[in-house]
Amino acid sequence: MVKDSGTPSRPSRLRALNEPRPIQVLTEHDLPVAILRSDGRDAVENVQDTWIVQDEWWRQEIDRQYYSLLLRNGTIRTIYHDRITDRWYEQAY
Amino acid sequence: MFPDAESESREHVMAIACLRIPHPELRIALLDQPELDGMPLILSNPESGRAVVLDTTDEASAKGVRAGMTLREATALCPDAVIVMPNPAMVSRISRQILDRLEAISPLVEPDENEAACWYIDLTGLGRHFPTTTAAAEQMIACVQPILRPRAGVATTKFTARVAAGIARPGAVRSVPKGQEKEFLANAPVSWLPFPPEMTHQLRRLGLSTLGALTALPASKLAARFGPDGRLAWELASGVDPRPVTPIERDETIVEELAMPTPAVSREMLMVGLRQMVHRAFSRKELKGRQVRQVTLRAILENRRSWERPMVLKEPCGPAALINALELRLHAMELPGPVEAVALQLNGIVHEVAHQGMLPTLRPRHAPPLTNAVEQLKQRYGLSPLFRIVEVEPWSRIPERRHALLVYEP
Repeated sequence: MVKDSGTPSRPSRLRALNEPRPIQVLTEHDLPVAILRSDGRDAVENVQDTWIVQDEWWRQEIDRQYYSLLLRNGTIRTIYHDRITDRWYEQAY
Repeated sequence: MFPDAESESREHVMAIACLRIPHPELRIALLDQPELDGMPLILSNPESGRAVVLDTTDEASAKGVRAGMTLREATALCPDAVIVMPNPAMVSRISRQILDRLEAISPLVEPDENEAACWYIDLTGLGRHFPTTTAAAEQMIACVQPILRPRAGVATTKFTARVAAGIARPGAVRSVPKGQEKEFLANAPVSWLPFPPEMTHQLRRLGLSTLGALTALPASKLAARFGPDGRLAWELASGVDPRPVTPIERDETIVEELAMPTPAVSREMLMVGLRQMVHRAFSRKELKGRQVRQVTLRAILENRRSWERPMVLKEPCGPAALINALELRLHAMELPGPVEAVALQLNGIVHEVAHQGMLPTLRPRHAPPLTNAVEQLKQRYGLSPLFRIVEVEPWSRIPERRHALLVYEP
């Protein structure tokens, strides 16, 4: 039998899946050229696709420019530029 | 090995040729309009919203026109300039043709990753076919229509060959004998190094404007300032280039083309054509039981213009999924003009991908142990750490809204 931790139980709730993760991006002419890591950077080989998601202007406006990037190490990552806060995030689309 | 009977010696046994076409988009446009050859040409796309100069021929550059200027500034400087619209479909078709011809001469051909219409060709082993490396390079120049003004450089390394091709006259070959690379490169500007403009800008700010100035410094100093790129820059400037000619992997490609009966102005009409092309492509035996990952849509527009849009699919698609994906993307696009013909290029051909269905649901006899485990975990952590994924707004354009984790309560 596991010992009771004494932590009060919490009501079940929905937790968003695939929430955006903040990242740091190096840009050139407004296009991402590298994703910065604490121990280096992943250079972008090619921007394979880009699209814009604008929504919900009537409440908290969403304005994102997504990029599907092929990195020099061969991986494909999807990132977006939040055009309202001018911040970069990673998020699978 | 090349024989040493001719003017060139056996020092050229390891030779790399660089073939390039400066201002490729403008030169390729001349294939359709040769009467414009010799006139100042400006590449620009006024319909894109930002009418700026994308490239110029030497005749326009001589009058002060530079890439990045607005079209208004450029035409003020050079009133007789002819504006040429980009034609990416034709550029990629001609580039492919040239690559095919070069590969018929040597199997080791590498397109430059940073510069369009620039190829490196490894001449090693071609001695039986060509008496000299210059003769081999001349044969490569002959692969290109003269109006495109190709030029070539031959040296022992890729970078030196690229610089030699950069200073060669149109239609001519510039050879750099082995051992003279450093001397040859000394006066070349640092901007010719294959590095981002920030690095060459920093080099110039440090007073290093030529490759000779770079090699006058110890390699360690450049490595300390710029990291591995600094050392590579020093090596390249010294005539040492460790990068081999790496031929591109030519993946399987399927192209379907369709001429529209009348120029298509509506997406619906274009979509009818695309549906037909997708079905035709998938009825080919090369695509039997296979799917595609990448599509390039090319449209030939009125007035010798073209438009090209590569699309990477989120997952390999068969005909039905591909039609859906094309439909979705086409609706989000602005057609640049009436479409006379359309081509669909399919790449990334893979075997059909099997999709795993939902995991089998837990059978009732498993429920009691799981219920007990969840109860114990809840007592230990105050909350069940088991979750299940539920659909919330699967149609949402905002990814984090589509699914959610719900605490698993058996």
